[in-house]
Amino acid sequence: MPEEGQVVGNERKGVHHMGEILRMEGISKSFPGVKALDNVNIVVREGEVHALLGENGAGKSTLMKVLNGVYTPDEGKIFLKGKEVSIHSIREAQELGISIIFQEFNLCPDLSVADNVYIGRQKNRFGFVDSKHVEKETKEILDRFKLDQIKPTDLVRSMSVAQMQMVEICKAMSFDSEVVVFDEPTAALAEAEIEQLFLVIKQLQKEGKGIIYISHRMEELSKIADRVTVLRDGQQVGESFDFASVTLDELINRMVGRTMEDKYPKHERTIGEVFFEANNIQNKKVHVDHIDVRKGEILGIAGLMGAGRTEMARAIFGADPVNSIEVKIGGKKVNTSNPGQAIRNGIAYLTEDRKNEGLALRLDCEKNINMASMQKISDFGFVVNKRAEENARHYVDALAVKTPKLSQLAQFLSGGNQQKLVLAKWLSRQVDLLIFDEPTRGIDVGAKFEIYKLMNELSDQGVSIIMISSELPELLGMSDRIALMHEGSIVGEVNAKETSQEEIMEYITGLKKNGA
Amino acid sequence: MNRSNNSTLSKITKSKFANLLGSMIGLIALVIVFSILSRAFLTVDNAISIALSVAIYATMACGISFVLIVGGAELSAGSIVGVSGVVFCVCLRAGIPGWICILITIACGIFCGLINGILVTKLHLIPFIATLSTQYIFRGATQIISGGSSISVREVASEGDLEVLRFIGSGKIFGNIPMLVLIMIASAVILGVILSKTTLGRKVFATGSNSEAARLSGINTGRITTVAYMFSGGMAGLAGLMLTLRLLSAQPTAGQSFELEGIAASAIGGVSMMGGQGTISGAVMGAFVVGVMRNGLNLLGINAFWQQVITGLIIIGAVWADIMRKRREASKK
Repeated sequence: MPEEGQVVGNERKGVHHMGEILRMEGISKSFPGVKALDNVNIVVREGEVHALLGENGAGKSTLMKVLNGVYTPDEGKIFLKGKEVSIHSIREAQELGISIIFQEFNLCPDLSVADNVYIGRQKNRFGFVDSKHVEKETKEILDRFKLDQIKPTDLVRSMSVAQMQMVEICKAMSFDSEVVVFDEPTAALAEAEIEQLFLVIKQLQKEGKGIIYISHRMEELSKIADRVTVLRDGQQVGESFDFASVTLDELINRMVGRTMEDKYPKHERTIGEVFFEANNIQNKKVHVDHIDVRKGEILGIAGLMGAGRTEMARAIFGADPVNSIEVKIGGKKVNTSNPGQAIRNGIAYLTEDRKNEGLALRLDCEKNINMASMQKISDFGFVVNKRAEENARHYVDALAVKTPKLSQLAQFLSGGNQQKLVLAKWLSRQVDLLIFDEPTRGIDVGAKFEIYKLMNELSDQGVSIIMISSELPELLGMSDRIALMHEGSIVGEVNAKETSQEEIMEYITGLKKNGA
Repeated sequence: MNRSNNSTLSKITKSKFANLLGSMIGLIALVIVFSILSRAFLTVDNAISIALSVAIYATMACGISFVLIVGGAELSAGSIVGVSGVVFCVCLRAGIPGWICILITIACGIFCGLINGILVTKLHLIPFIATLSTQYIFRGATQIISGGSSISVREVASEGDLEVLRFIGSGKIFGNIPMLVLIMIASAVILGVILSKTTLGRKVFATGSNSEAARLSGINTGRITTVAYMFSGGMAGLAGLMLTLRLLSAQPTAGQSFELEGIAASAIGGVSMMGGQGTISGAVMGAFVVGVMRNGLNLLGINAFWQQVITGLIIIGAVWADIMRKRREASKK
């Protein structure tokens, strides 16, 4: 729905009465099986910090990728200073004056600050790079933001994360960006560094830039956000509104506010004794005192990106080094110092990144399924082909993996079927504790339901399950208990039947602690 | 439309032998062309002489394939050939019985492989650099042990041993088949079985295809990688022994650039340089493609310089055909 006062498309550049810089109108984008964005409208004005909020998977990143030309929208228009533009690549977006500062920086660590800022665009003099010029320009930008602790000749490798972020911002400024998008800029920053970042953002505001600010941290929004747009499941929740006009509670409510749908198979669980226990898990990113799972129980783990959920799971599984950890299974201390040991003790870990860590894509289904069950399919180290095939066939049938044949390479299966393949690998091994890391990420609704049903069946058989998920409804729908993580620690635990998305949100954004 | 016509063909190309098929077609094509061009080509004697000429390369290629499939690189195999040759002669000179010398020689190769494995898995050197370094180290060791001059087996072996060793190096069995060819076939069969029929082989493929996934599936990828290098070292040691027995002398420069022959054979035979794909039979076939090509060109009187150019072209052609086949497969899905 076009708002009134819309700037006419053919008006000359520079004439934009409303002080409007960016308008995205009716943006829709579908991927096979999902509508990632559905008629999203967003207007960013000069000197405004526009917060873009939503849960993981709500469509924020997709929207930003439409803005910087990575995705072409199925429908909708983008206006920059009143002129309609179509953007086909990141480079085009940059040249139009749209820059995105992603969480993952795009810097070459072995080049200097100046070379990074002007990468690919170094001024030439007789075919040689004019480094003096580039350094001077970079210095000017750094001065503008009073970033005197960074020198244009510094190597990026030796910098802190916060400083690298500043280099990214300088890079954006070197393109004369009018619109700067910050994607979770404070996720990896310390308190003082956040202050510095906000000073820089304030300077951008003063210069009349439009700023889109994506963050999960509610506390900090109040310091910086002017207006807010909320996305949920790819749709916009109401119109954009002034940040000052709502309370934090209302905000969270808008972000999660759907009723729980019937997406989760109803199930009664019989939960036994405490089966698995891990104490004092300590490494760089994890500081967890205690976590336990009962027999046949599903323990959900909630937390924001970077809260240390995956890192905790990997520590338990012995996939990453730890400073200390104590794992008990059935009350007995066991060694899980490497994945092989963990598996022998009945623990399996389904990675969040199934393509890079879960499957050997260039091997076939049968080999992937049997990868963790070598004993089962071999005698004296020799693989018994018939047994290997029967075993694979059994799990392909049981999980309804859609593949034309067992010798199909894993890379040719769909996301959902690949996930089933990983699952088959672990079911074949018959473990007692399954750690699922984002088990349904990127797979379609039907396959999701099947995975949920399978998890229920497993818990019926007495398997304990830890499920890490960024989708709160999924956690509420599937778990018995939910452990809540914030900045590497478990800050609380709630009963899934008695809690709400709002309560979980408060814990994992750091607003609330230790209620359990 | 033409699906029914092509069904048998597509069944074959899609089957496990798809990897082999390219080099097999290449080999058959070469044989046909040379048979037409030269009368001397398609004779039993010539076939045997081809087999003899590739026996040592093919033996090495089997081991090198292990390393390539596990996702490594192997540049030191030629130097291992050299070092194991002189170690063999030094052992003989020390009066150790011949058969024990043979075992020591192969063990020496395996030990060299172990060093490669440790450099790659414990010191985390890039395989290319690790084996490049050991190429120099092992070659240097060869020179040091031999004092820089060749050692004649005739001079260092006892009477009884010499008879047997000479038989292994140049004798024939079952009428006409050279012992060296037999050794090559036997080791290829053993390695082929290990790679395709055992859990170890599966772990090698899993590690080469995705080492992180393999590790998280409980496979000790470091150990598997090291074992692969040890296989390669052992085969290079065996190749060094074969070469020494054939020449009845260990040269300090023996085996120089042999590793490239082995890698070329593997590449032509469909072994992926990225790891995770390949077969032993493919590598052997690849060695034969090169051998047949050389032999045929010799018979036609084309000089060795051109043979090198053509070897390079064959590698390009074989690998390119493999890439095209995979692309076609991928686009069908």
